[in-house]
Amino acid sequence: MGKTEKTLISKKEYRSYNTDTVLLSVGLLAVGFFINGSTVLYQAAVCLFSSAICEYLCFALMLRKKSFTDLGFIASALLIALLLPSSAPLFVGALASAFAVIAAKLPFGDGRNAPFLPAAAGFCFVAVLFPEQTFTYAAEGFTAVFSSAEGFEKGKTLLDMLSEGNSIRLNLFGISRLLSGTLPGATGTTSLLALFGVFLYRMLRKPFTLLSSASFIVSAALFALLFPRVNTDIITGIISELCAGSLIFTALMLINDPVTSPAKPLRAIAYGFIGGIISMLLRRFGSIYDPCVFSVLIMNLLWPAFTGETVSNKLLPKAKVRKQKRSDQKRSEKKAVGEYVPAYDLFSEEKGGADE
Amino acid sequence: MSRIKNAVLKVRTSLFKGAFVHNPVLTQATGIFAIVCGAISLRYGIALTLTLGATLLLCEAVAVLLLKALPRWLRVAFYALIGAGVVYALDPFIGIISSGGTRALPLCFCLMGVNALIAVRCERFAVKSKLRYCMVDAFSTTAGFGAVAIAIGLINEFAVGRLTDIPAGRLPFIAFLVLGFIAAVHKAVIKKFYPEEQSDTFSMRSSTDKIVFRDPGLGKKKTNKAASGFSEDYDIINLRGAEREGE
Amino acid sequence: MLEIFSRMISYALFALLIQTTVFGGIGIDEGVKAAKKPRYLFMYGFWVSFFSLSLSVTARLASPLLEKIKPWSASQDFLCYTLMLIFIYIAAALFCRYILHANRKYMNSLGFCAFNSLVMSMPAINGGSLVSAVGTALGAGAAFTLSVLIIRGGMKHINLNRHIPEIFRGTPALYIYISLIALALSCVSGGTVFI
Repeated sequence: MGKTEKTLISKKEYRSYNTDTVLLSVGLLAVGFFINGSTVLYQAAVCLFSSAICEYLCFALMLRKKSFTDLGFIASALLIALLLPSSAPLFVGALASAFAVIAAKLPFGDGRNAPFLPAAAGFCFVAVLFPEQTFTYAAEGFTAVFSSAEGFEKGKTLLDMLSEGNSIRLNLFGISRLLSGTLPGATGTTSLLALFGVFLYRMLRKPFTLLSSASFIVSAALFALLFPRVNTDIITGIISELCAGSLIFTALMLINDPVTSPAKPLRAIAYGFIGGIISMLLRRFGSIYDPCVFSVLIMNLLWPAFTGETVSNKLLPKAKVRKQKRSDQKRSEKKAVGEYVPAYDLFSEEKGGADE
Repeated sequence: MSRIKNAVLKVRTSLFKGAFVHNPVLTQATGIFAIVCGAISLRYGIALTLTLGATLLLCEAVAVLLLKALPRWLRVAFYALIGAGVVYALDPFIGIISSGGTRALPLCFCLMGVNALIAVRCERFAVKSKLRYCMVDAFSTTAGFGAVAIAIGLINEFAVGRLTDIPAGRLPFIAFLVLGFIAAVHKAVIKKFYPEEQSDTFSMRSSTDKIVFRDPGLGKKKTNKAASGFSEDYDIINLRGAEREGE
Repeated sequence: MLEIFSRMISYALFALLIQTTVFGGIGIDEGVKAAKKPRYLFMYGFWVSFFSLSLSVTARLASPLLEKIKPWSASQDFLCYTLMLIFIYIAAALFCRYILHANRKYMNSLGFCAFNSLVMSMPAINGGSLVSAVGTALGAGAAFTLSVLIIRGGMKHINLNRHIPEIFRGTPALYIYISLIALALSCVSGGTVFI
């Protein structure tokens, strides 16, 4: 039979990454609770509940033995809760978590085989369907209420200021707002101090994951430097762009997901760099208010298209990936030239789908 | 009498298999464009189905009667011309259906004339077959397409329309998603009730094969180069000169 | 001249990056079929661009004449565009057949590149001017090639993934993959091409 080639990340590595993500998310939620009040906890609870129910039901329906110990669904749910505003209606979080499990995870097996990051897919789903609910943030002093409550006041985020050509003043007050996270924004994305804590944790636990994060932030900073939106000094412009929206959160928590991001150092740097450029371009030209998470999905779909590296073969040496690509092409050609390929014979290799 | 009964049974089986077991959208991944862009409500789903039906019937009939002698690269031009002609003839009907809709929808109906499904069915089946089998194939393909189009239209109109303020046609990813889950449910049903057809869903060897038509009433064998994966009433032999492996 | 060229490039980039025609549904059938044969990808892309461009330019040049005759409906426009495309296609096919001595398989693929929803929708999608028609057509061809590459990446993932549940293998997983691509790209276009 021969030695089985290791192509996927291992269950142990996946579980370890999810454990880190859950711990970091809990920390960020605690900070969010301190700033925004109890609505943060309700949101997280609803996301968790929805994710758990969907995970259990889906795998029960599929009659598959499911281990909940890989913590993938918990990590997805908490990431979604952190990306949503604390004042978002609860059904938004529930829908996003359900979508992450049902659409982005279940059809592809499990979290280790999903071509798209489930949390990113879930958030993008609600961002497109319910943009107003997903991107309405409470003003300072109006936290701890949902957006449908009476007297709710919408806050002005850094993104709003940047789109007007303004930015936050980098005096003591402004810096303290950035560090503490009191500026309007999504739950887990506003506090620079908390995000710095995430950075330190990742640096201590898995420094490799910071390669793509760092290149993501560097490319975004370079873009902000070359194409500033604010008329003040360069440093203010760059800091404002980096602190606006969910850019840093995306860099530290999403873009470096070991399942969807490349396994090799140079590729991880390139992946993060291109992701950063795309997120900045989407900010300028896209139709979504805060599109950084969409850049993760776009990288998930572009990377396999151009490099041939998928979730299922990224640990293979380059020569083997090329060989696989050549034999894949030859098989397609053989069918195209020698045999009459039915129009619907899309996956002739699979032949009934038996698990090899 | 038994001959008529057998013929009716075979037609019913063919219709059922062509429409359900080998559904053109769910197993063959053709005709997706119309469903994604056009089936934004029940009304549009029905209208798309009727447009496809008329076009497919006429194209298959013309293909089997007149176009067999032409090379394939020329036949496709005729399919497009016939499709455009049918759409032009149905213009008042399209106007009634799409009134009050967006400007995209008349274009979706027009583009049904160049639907890949028409060329695929004509080339795969009509030019190698007889008129009566083509009519059955056209009806079954239309029924299969229509079932999916109406389902997606219903979901777009009553689920998506109520869930969000964004018009359903603006969200193509929802149509693809629903199609994917419907295809999965379809596959599960085929696996449970028609397991012998299951391998055909992917390899579809039977769809390229010469089909030996058995008429129990007459006790004779007729050979017919038809294709739609009819495995219950027909024996299947590989078309391309080689016998199927294992037979 | 430079201004015209830069406008053309901007229309092409718009069609390539923003319009996302294929993942909005237009041309998805052909995209999925082309993704099955990656070797012919650039050939498909070239011919789709060629037919899009030819049809767009012909339609744009003929539009003043057509408008003078009587008020047109979409189906009448479509019939005229189909006739135009047939002439262009036959000319291209004869050129390929007798000048380039293309084989039967190549000729069969040519029809698929010409008569598809993406090419036929070009005259409707294009803006008012000849420059926009040229730019959009070129961008649409490039967008088709890019879309097929992306779908090919997805197909490869689905083929290599042994953990996909059996009922999702093949077409269901492909549809869901395409839906996630369309979701990701909806941040760019905000939805389908027209609405």
